[in-house]
Amino acid sequence: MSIAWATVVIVVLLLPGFAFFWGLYAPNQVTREVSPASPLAQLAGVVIISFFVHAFAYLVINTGLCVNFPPVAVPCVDFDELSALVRIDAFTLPGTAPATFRAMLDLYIFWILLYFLAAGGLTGLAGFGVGKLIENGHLRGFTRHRYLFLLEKGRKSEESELVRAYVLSRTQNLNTVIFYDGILQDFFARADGTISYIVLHDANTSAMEITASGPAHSKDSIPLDIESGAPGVRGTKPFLVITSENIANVYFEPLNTVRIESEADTEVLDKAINELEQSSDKTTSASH
Amino acid sequence: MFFETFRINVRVLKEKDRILYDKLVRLAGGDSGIVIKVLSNPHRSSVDLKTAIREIEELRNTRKHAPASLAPQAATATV
Repeated sequence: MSIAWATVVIVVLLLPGFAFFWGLYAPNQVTREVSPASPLAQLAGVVIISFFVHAFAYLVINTGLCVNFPPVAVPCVDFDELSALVRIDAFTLPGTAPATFRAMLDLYIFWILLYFLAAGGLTGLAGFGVGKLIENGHLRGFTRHRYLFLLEKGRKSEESELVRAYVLSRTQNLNTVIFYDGILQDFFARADGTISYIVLHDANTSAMEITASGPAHSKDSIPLDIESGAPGVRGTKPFLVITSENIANVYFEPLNTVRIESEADTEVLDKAINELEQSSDKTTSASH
Repeated sequence: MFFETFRINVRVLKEKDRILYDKLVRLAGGDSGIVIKVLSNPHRSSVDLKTAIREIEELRNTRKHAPASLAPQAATATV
């Protein structure tokens, strides 16, 4: 009983710390990396944050709100009552009358709930703010794997920012190694920054031969999509998934950002494609 | 959620960017090497769409008239 009660109390008291990290993770996935790889170390962060939040709230309520806030009768925090409630022993100490908390809880349950909602909500917002600061590059010192942010920058940009990825695989035959390249679609990284797998759009494959004078890349690069270049009619575009077991290293190349000045630009592009494909259709039908 | 700190999922390619890239490849006659060559110009960080269209069309027409033996190099232009 006492263990169960202690667990409940600890979880409730640590709510602000949990809320902070929930808020921190909310803006994007990359902010997860600010948390240490060890959950135990993060638990320490939760405890520290919760401690300071409760201490600050105690200071504000007992020295300000419950004394100098006459419009609303805010009750002060009775630390003796709180510590007795936290210790389940207080219910069953031998030789002492069991402490009863029902009257206190009935009287103050609204304020207790309001306190934890406010503490959790405000720390959650604070965590969200820190996450946004990290996302916008103001707290990059807290991050360990900055390349993740560089890659994700393109997704958040209004303009078209593509990243080309060149993947040297572990598939090899004698001195020849398979090489993949394509537009980086997304990837999954571990907390230590290593890539778990990456997904490439419009992938090509080629070979690299390791010679005494250095690596030599083959001139032929074969599209994996056999329908590459054909007018797109499929709903799902093909993509290549390469897992860490087959990745030796990856070279990321951010391409030039494509600026679309106006809607007319995309219309020009559509028109040019139509003209090209219509002329190629005519050429094909004429040859038959 | 608290213990989901071992993985970082980063989505890089936006859907509209993928559509634009596919259109540029179609404009290049299916040769993605042309698009990559145009978009990996080290002397600029960005390019407006009209310029990109013009450069792709120029490269496409140049390669169309080039000898067939040079065609495979198109796909590996930036490697």
